[in-house]
Amino acid sequence: MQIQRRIIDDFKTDRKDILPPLPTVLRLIPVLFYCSIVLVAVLASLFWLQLQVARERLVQHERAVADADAQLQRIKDEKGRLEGLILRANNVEKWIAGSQPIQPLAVAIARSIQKGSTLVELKITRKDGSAGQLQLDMRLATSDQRQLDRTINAIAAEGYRFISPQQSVSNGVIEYKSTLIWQNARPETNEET
Amino acid sequence: MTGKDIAQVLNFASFRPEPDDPTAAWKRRFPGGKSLFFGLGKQSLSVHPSLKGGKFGKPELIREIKDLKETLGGVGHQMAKDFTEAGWCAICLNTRYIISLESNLSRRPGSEEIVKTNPRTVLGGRYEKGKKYAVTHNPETNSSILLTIDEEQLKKIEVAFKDSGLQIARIFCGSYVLLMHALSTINTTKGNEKPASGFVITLCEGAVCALVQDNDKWLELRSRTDVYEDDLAPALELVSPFQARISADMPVYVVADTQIPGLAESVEQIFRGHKVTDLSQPNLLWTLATEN
Repeated sequence: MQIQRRIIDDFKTDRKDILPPLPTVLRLIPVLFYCSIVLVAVLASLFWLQLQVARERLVQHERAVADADAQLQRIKDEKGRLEGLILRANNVEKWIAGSQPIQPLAVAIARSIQKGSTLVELKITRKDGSAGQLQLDMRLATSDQRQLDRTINAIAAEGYRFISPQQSVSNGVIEYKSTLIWQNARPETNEET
Repeated sequence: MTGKDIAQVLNFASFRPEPDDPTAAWKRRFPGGKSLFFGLGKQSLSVHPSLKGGKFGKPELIREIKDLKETLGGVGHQMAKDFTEAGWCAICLNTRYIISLESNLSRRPGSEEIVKTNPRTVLGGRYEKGKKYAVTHNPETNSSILLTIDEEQLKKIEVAFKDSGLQIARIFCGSYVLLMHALSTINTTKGNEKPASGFVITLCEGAVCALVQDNDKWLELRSRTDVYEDDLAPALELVSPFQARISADMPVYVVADTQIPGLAESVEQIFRGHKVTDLSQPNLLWTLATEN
């Protein structure tokens, strides 16, 4: 015969509300719960690492943007400086273009002086802000009344026009003042275009 | 559903039987292995701590107990704290029970379980009010081994332990468990083609039980409690009359709650000419109690 072992007989007073254990298959619930916690922890770690990387990249990006802005500002400043230089250069160019060498005029005046006449004083002043205009102050000691006309003609032959000429004679010295404008000077508007 | 229920699902406690679920094996109830076993005699109390990993701690024996409640009151709380999970323990009853050989008990299916809840239907006229029973049927004959325990005494024990901070997960009879262990070891062949014979002696902390099985038939059973303490002589003296009654070639099987040096030799001196087999192992009873 065979007598099989079985669970030891228990004689204690049994509780009425003893519940059987839950089915084994339901162990999946806590297992899945713990797996999900592990998964959440892993994902959270990955996300945290990604966040750190993203923050670092953002800082790098912001730094790059700031560098680019600073470079842009430097370039703008440089551009402004260059534009200022260009403006000044243009102004110089305009001034140079507007001005005419005085030496030929002085030579023409000197050559117009005939024998018996003396150029006591010659003062040619370029006006501020208007390179094309010259202030002529001249004193001639002459007894020849045509000397002044020859000199004026010589100046006119150089291409200058007289504006507001003033002439006075004192003790045989003719004092002549006038503003000279060079006739062949290019118009400023044309120069700008 | 409360937070405690959710916590029990999450820590897998809900998938284990409750600590006092009598239908579940001890190792399923306490998978951690930490538990405390008491052996309760008439005037003695033995303590057997079960440690993790299936090992047992050093047993302690308290003698000359006059009042169980008073004895437990001094050490119960500390033992519950040191050796148990939430104070759960098991009690091996070694006194005030009766193991008897009965015949013609009801053999309806599941009667060995029914006898615990509705003993009258199994025992019929042998039923006594205020008793608890366990039965093991002989599958080849109409005889059965019946264990009877006084319910009043069980309640007193439960109250004494409860008042001492201990929770009872199981109360069992050591001699009955050892007897069933010996019978399941001897009788391993299905059917009646190879009948087994043997004289089984169980010794459990002072209690003695002897059963004669001849060709699968249970012929005689004798059980006494509080027979011996340290010296086995009274127990051996109790079983010695069987020497004249059993057949000459009948093997003798002796099993004790733990390994006792010289036990087999002592039995051999009484049952000369018989093959004596000692089924005892160190902490056998407590190992059986933790495995079943």
